[in-house]
Amino acid sequence: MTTKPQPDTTAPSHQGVNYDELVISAAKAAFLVFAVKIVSVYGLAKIYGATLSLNLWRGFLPHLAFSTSEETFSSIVTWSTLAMATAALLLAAFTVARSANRERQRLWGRLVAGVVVLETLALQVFRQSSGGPAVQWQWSWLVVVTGVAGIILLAVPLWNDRAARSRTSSDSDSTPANQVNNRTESR
Amino acid sequence: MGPQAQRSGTFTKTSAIAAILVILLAVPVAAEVAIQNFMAADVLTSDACFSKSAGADAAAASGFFTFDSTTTVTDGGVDLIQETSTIRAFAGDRLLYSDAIVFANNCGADITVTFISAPDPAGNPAIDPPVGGVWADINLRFYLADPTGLTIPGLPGSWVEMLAVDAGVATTPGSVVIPNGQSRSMAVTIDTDGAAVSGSTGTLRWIAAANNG
Repeated sequence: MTTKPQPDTTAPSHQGVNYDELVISAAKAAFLVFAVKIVSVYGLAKIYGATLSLNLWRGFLPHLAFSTSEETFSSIVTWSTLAMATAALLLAAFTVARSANRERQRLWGRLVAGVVVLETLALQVFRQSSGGPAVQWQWSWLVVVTGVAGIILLAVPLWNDRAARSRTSSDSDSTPANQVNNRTESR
Repeated sequence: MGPQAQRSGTFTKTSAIAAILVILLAVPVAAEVAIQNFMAADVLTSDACFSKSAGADAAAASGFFTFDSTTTVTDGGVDLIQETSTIRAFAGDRLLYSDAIVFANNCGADITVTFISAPDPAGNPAIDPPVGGVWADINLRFYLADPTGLTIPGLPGSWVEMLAVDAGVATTPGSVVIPNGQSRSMAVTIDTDGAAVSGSTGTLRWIAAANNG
């Protein structure tokens, strides 16, 4: 009697790519920079003496509301966004500094932090161009540099990994027995 | 590490991409929506510092030119004062009023005055009736006294042309700076066609706008 091979449901999904790790890593990175934003807004509001309250937009969407001057408002927005970018950069540095973290999907996921920072800045610039006070132009370049630095820090090992995988793939073409020796995920 | 320790995949490639897209959309929006600036403006009412009052022509030639500063026009439940003049013109004649309305500046700084032909807040048209009617037979000019202005035949002093209505079309060519604490008279010239129908009426609505500087 022969037994039909069963699919391995415990293996990482889709040809060795652990999408769980990718999504969890992205969610953690995004939550980190968001939390840094909120905490730094609160702290800066205390420093500037701005009145801060939690309001509900249209009765359901909670948001922080300031009662302060336009100049103070744009200072708080700019510096809190820079705090976000710094958090993204430190996260990237921490990730690549520890070899245990250099898993490809984790690196991809943590790229989300830098992208979120740049998106947030883009929204603020859009808001500014729409007539509302949002950013201080003279400091916004720091956010861009810091955010992009975090992305590059993660992109370099990803690029190297891609090159290494490419070399491995071409080597294994000549040795078919090695073709299954792809990376495995371990926790 | 054996298969028992490996976690089964919750996300497929599609759902993982969707989840990351949601994160990339939601988090920046949340971070931005989280901060809204609320401003406060305290409004203090006081008497108008740019004021309009009847000139000498209204007092001396009652019946030919009248000035009413009590008429109001309603805008959103608020009654705004709409100074109203009644100008009598004579068919076939040019009529000149050299001191019809006086514009005074007590705003604490120099102001630049311009006239704007526009519908009033209630939506009544600037030129009424808009087409034809009495405006087909009338050319109207408003001037403000100003040392830098030009001499107008029949009017004493020098004047800047502020508003003109020819054949029912209004233009506003000039502006005048009224120094703080001073006033300027408005002159009116009105040419009426000899064929104009006696008793016909037309209304011009305009704004006297004052800006700093």
